[in-house]
Amino acid sequence: MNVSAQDGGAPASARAPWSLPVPSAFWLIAPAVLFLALFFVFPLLKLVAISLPGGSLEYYEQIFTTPVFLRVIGETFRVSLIVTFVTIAVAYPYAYAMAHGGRTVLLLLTVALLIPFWVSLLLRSFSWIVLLQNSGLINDFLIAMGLIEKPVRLIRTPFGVMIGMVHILLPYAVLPLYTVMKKIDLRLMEASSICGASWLKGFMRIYFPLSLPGVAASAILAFTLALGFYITPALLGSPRDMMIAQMIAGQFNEQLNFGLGAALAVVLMVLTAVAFGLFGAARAALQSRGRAKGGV
Amino acid sequence: MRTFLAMTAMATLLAGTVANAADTTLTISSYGGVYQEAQSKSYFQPLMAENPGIKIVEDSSSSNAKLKAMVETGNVTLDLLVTDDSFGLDTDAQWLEPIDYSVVDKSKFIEGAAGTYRVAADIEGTVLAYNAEEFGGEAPKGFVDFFNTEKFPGSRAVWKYAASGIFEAALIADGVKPEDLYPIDVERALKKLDTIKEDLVWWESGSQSEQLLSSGEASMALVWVGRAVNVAEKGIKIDWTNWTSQTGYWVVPKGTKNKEAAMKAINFFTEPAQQIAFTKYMPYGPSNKNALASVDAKFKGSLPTDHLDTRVMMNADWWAENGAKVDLRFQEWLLQ
Repeated sequence: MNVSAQDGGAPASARAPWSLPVPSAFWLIAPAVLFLALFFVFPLLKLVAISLPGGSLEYYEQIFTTPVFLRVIGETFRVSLIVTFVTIAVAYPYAYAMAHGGRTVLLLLTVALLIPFWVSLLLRSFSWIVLLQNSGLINDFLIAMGLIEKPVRLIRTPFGVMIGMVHILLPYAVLPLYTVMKKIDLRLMEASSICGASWLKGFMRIYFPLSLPGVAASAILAFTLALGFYITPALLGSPRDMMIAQMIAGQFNEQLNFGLGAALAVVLMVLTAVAFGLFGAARAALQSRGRAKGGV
Repeated sequence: MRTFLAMTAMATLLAGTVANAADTTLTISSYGGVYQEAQSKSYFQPLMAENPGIKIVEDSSSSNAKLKAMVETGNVTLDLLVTDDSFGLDTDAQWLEPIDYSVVDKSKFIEGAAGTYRVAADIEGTVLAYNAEEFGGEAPKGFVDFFNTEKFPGSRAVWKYAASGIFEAALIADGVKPEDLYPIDVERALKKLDTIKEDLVWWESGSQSEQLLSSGEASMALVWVGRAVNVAEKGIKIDWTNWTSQTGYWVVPKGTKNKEAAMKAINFFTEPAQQIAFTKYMPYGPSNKNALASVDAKFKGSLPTDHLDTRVMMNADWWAENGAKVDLRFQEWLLQ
């Protein structure tokens, strides 16, 4: 109230009679907390309980002593890391163009980004099949052009999984980057060029460091989403590109081994949390370094 | 909170009144799509027409995992489900009601169709389908040719599932007699599969298998017979030299309140009139031996029951016992 009085706002007594006192934060978040507790935390605890029949760690032991599981877990992290890297590499210039390309470019790029975002994931993965299969558009075109004689195998390869996943993750990576980039003051770049720096040098020393929080946010989002991918690797990858979500589904749906499936899910969740924590720590370190520098 | 409880109670009461319009409401879960539509037309609607006291509510898609979870949480909302070969065995007793053979006539079924906990709804099969244009008039004959990539080049589409019949197919191609298949020699089968590993394309849904065949992506495939018939117009033919058994079954989840009505429904659905009507819509054969001869003309010749002499019977009990272990080995082989 003091603040508003100092700012020249209306004094408290002049408050409109219909305005209600602001409820405390606790009551505002109570519905969300209740919802999460009922429909997320409780089932999650149930899942953990199913993975520990009678307190026994047998399923976890099985996971960490069976080469297939370890290999698929490793593969899941490897693919997710590569996909995250490629996604950021594609999203970065895209977000840059959105942030600094003017209103028409922004409108066009936003529409191009969001329309596929609204189409179901399954449909998008199937669309990639239509494009990438041996008798698909890309191969037909290349053959018609005389560039290749026999169809190139594009689908059911790591490349197929990559392209499908990057496409789906792109909006998640572009939007955080865009919000950060939009706030970067381009006059800083002008100042650096006045001081004699080339565009590249200005970009590396000023723009890129300022955009790093966006990169970090995008990477966290893309990576954690990538870890749980199921449909896309199943449709566009070969069996060698199996990810852990497919294995979890197999244990639940085919093997009806809820215990092992639940244990695999818990392992994925814990590893994701660890990765998330590491990313978060790196991001915090980056920010405090940035602040320290700014203070100098 | 109290108001909320009162409202819930009232809603439950109201729902109860609506349900009472018919004496019994049977909730049946099947696999959806044309399959369930066919069941609806040939089984569900005739039953309701003959028994005005019974109302059938349809649900889909049936899943063994869902049934298991439903019984384990004690919230049994389905009365009758369709399942596959992998479920409804003696090892699944804890989730199922035994079939009441004082209500269901056991003597009318073909061999192997009436189990303790399940009754065959229809006789399906996994068949060798091929693209007739691919091989210049030559037709592959049996699993041996499925593994002969020299004579019949091109990709082979197979269900990515250990118990899909692929192990059986590999062993038969390798010279094992159908009656000597079990216990499955897993390593021998994988060694045989190694010879065509580069040509294998795996499918994980029925529609995907159709797409692989009709697009020309695969020149041969092991697919569910219904899917092969669906793409017959695209030049896809079926070779019946060897095929592996596959069956749709009725099961009743443990703890259903409508057990008796469910048993009566099973008996009605497996009567000749209903099963013959079903063959008008789907290329799946009847499980009632009295219906075999009078199936509808539409799919005559493409029904698995027209080729029972060449059927390779899958041993569901062996798979139930060894499936988890074989699956892990299969996944490991896939990753190599």
